[in-house]
Amino acid sequence: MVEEVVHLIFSDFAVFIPIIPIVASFIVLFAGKYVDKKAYGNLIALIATGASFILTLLVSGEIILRLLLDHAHIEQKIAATWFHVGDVKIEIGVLLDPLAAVVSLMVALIAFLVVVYSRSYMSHEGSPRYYAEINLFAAAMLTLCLSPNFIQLFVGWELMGVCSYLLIGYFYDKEVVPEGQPHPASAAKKAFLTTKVGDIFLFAGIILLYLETLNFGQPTFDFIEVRDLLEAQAIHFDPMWFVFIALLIFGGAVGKSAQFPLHVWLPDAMAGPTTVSCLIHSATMVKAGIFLIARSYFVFEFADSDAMLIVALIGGITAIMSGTIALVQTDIKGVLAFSTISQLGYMTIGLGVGGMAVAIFHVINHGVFKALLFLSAGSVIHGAGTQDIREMGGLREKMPQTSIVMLIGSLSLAGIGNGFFSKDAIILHTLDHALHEPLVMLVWLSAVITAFLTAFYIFRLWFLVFPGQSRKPEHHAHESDSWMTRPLWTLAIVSLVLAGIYFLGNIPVLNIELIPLLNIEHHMFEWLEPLKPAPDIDKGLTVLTQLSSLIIALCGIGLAYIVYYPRKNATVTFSADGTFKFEVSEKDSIVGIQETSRSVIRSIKLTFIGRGIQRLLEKGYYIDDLYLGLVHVIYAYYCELMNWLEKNIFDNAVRFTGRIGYELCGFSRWWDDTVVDGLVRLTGRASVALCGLAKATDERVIDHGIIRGSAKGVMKTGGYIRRVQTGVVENYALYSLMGAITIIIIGLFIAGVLPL
Amino acid sequence: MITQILFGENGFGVLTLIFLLPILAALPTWFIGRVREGLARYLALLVSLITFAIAILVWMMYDNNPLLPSSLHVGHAASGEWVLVENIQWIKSLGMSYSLGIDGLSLPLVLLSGFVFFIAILASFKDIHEREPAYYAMILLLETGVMGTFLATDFVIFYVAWELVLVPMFFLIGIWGGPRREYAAIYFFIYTHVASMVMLLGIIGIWLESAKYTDSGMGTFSFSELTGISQQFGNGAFVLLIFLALLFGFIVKVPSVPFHTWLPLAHVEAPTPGSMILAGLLLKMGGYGLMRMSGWFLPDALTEFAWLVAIIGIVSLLYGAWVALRQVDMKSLVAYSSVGHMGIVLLGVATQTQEGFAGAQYMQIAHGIISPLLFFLAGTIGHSAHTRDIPKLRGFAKNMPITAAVLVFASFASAGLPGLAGFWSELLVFVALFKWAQILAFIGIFGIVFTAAYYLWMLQRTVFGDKNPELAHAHDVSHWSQYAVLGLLSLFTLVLGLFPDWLLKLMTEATAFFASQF
Repeated sequence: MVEEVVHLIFSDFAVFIPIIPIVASFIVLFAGKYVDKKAYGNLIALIATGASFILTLLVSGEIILRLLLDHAHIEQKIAATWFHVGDVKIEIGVLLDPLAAVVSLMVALIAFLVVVYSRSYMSHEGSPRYYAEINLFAAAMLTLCLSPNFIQLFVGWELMGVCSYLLIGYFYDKEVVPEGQPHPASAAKKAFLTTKVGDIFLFAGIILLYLETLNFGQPTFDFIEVRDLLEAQAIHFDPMWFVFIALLIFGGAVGKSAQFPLHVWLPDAMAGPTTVSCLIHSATMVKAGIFLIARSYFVFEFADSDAMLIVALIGGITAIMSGTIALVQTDIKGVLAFSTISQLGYMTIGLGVGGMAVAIFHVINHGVFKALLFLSAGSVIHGAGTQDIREMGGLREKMPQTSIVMLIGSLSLAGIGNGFFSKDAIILHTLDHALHEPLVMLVWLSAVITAFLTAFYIFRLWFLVFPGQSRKPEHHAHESDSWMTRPLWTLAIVSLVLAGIYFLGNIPVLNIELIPLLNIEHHMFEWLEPLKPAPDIDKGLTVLTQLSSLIIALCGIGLAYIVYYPRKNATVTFSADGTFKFEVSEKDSIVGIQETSRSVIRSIKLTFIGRGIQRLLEKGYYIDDLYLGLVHVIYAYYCELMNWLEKNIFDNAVRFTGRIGYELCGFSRWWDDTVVDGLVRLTGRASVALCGLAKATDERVIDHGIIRGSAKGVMKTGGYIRRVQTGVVENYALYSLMGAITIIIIGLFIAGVLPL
Repeated sequence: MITQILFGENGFGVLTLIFLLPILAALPTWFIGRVREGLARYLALLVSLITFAIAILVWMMYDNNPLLPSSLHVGHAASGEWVLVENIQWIKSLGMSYSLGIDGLSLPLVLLSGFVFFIAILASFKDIHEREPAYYAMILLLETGVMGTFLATDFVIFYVAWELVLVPMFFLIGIWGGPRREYAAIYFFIYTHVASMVMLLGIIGIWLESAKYTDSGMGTFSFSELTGISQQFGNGAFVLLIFLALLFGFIVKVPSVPFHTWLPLAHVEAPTPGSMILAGLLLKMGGYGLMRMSGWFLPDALTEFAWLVAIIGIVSLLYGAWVALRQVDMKSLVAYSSVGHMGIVLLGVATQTQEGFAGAQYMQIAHGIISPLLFFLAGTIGHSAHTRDIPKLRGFAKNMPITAAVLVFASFASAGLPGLAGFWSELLVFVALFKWAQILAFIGIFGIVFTAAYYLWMLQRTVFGDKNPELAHAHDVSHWSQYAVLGLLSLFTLVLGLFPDWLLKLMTEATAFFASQF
């Protein structure tokens, strides 16, 4: 019955989801400034992303409804052959399944909201180029999400790299860059090249996977076909070789999703406009890596368990490493950037411990709250005129709406809003997995510590920005207009509604399902991994983990409150030794606790080890400097050596050969001049003598007139020919041309083609 | 009547028209230019356009395009056969004839030549003002040489056309070139001429060797006869020697490390349209020769020497990228990038598979469109900013936004961005290479990173950043011909990226034949 009511009506239009923004980006680029003069073509971009979003909503909504009501297994491919050479057959089209539906819905929503937000945020700095690139960026991510095969995915993947390059370097002509920040052009280059290192591993991985299918006689790049082949013919493949392939594919994700050790590009990427950072961090780019792993999860599952273990370990390292670095950031976008890396670490952990569904669950939730946080941060920067949290403070009165939505986002990130459910699910699965794989215990530890750090640094940010008094009153901060606040509220409401749905579906602490339909976490498993049995985790363990996560988050927030909350209108100043100083006029018991704890922290910070750690964190564990040094060595020494070889060895070898040839010619000349010429002269002399003998006879026989006449003729001809010898090179070129033509014509005559 | 002319039933056909039209128009162009200075360029443009149009007609005939009346269709071409063949006995005793033909390997290159010559003449409008009549006559002469190389189905015609190319190119560099033009012209001429001599030895060798296998017992220069007996050549010592001699001739033209030093010099000194033709077409002659020789005449020798070809390819790929990273002159950088990209062609051929061959040929065409675009940009920038030195061009996007935008586009296209022309060839070649020699492929993919690196590093130092005050006088493209060149080349880069099937379908028969030879 339900089946009949809900057909996949909209799926036929799914191909237009990426096509609309692509076409729009070209229109904006060439016609944007004529159509929508004031906002640089924002209107076209707005309509395009809006249309794309509505279409995605219809398509994905339909799929999700069918999944909910019908428990259908949806996997619909609409594709056409792109080209076909030998065994290589490449298709282009869309693949509609739960994974694509869920992720593309989030992407389309955030892209649309970002374009809306840009209308005001980029009202002075925008250009048709900006909107064209944003549209293309969103389109590339949607192409990737809906891709039915590895090649189309790779096309979207690389296209996204280029769009991020162009957008991060949007302010390419910036002359003055704040201290400690990279130049946008340089940040863009770094982002592209760092991710490119990952990309070539992915490229190799895709090809090796293809060759495996070729070896089996069914060459294909198609996700479904490869998966089915692996499932059906598992005995024919070597799981150890698949570890290698899986790790190559994971290499791509490490680059794009900014995992250790290729995470260095993401913090620098904040050199672009905040809207772009928002897209990169929440919807596109970094999510592509996680999506890739989820899409090719069958490879990881098939591979030996070592592959998964490495994935989980990398996730664990990334999470705690960036979580600690975020503690010392003073740039509002810097904190958020490192928090993204850390959250991506969570997702990677989720993938590594055997729950693709939990990772995607976190992708969605993180997308919503991180977009909210970044757009709020943009609003703060727009209103306060700075992105340094040392110069903010007291913005709550001036930007009340921003402060509230950012609080919602921060709570969610800290693990109290919609972020709680997915983060908790990851920690839970890690703990469950650790029972089989002892090394995962370390990952679990990292995840738990990071949860605490997350709550602490995000509230450090919020407490330093919004409450208290302004540290730079001359900035005249103001609330942003409705083009900016409406997207913020939309995201905040989505975040709250999601939290509400999750809560109703599954009251976390007691683990009771109130309304089974709303238990999204359970549905995620059912939709994304239909073939696997739902994970059977001990109820007691679940409750314990949920309670402890909540407590950890609250502890983090509490500690941030104690250290950074300016109670009783404390004045906050930033001192030279790199710490915030709080001066309070009136005191109560909490202020007393605050002061004691602050002095304890300060004394720890001032010790030798404390300073060392502070420096280590500020430098991001020196990974950046290490790479910079390496690149410098390659560029300045190795490539210079090659260049030297080129200029000296190769060139001189050619010249030397030429010189030998020249010397040989000199020898020939000598030979010619002395030996050959000598012989000729000798012959000549002999002839002259002979001629002398003949002369007497000649004079009588031959008519003087004829000789004179012919001599004159020769003189005249010489005169004519002399004119040809003009010394003008082009004339010689003309003669050679005429010669060539004559030869051709004579040749044709000889061949008998042209009649004589 | 028309079919008789087009199919060459009376001796000469449509291919002769493509071959000889430019050279026959060269003299009138010169004389008309002498009378009215401004007319030469328009006549040359017209002639190249007509040639290109005829090439498109040939494509439609080959493709059995429904737009043409069915009497003009060539029908289904047999594998390893040429169509539209024109064959006239020339010197019987040597087994030599005037013979032209077309197949899936040469047709894309003929189309590319028609297109690139048209574009190069357009690109000359703004830059070349000195001795115009002679210049355009030289370009047309060059077109005959290039077309002849691709159309020839007889080794003698092939060799004559191959050598004919050198003469106008020598004058183009030597007269209209940069400050060191004379040195560069002579360097170019001698270097490539020596290589041609070695190649000629190879041709004579193949003629001698073929006498063993032909029905008549005489040596032959005919491509189709050689193809017929290609499986019998085997890999004896003399055949391998022939292979090496021909290979040397071709890889100097390609050019590959270590025989590439003439290329950067010639490119830097040549006038911009000359560089465009040089990179777009002259290098392709080497690639074409390599493919023709190894797939059609001496397949067993290629199997024997595939490792050598592959190593030369991979060294060119990586070494080209490393040296390009350190270049100061923009044209020089693009020249080294050509060395790297042509390395991919060698890799594709070395794999001896359908995918590798298709990828190599795709790279020839893609590079034949992208590198002229890059050279045109470098030339325009040099003209407008009076320097091509990368460090001095800081922030030129401010003054020259269109040039800067197209430069970014072309750089990404050249670096192999999916969706643009270069990517498909990389994909196909690496699929074949991973199948054939995995270690080599793993080394090779790092070439992609280095390629991206030198382009981005160049972009960062030229397009972006704050403006160099010395560039105040620089102005953007403004002439209609410049817009046309940029627009057309960019468009084709995009079209080849989005619709690879158009090109791949054209070469289906050639790729299938190539693979069947091994």
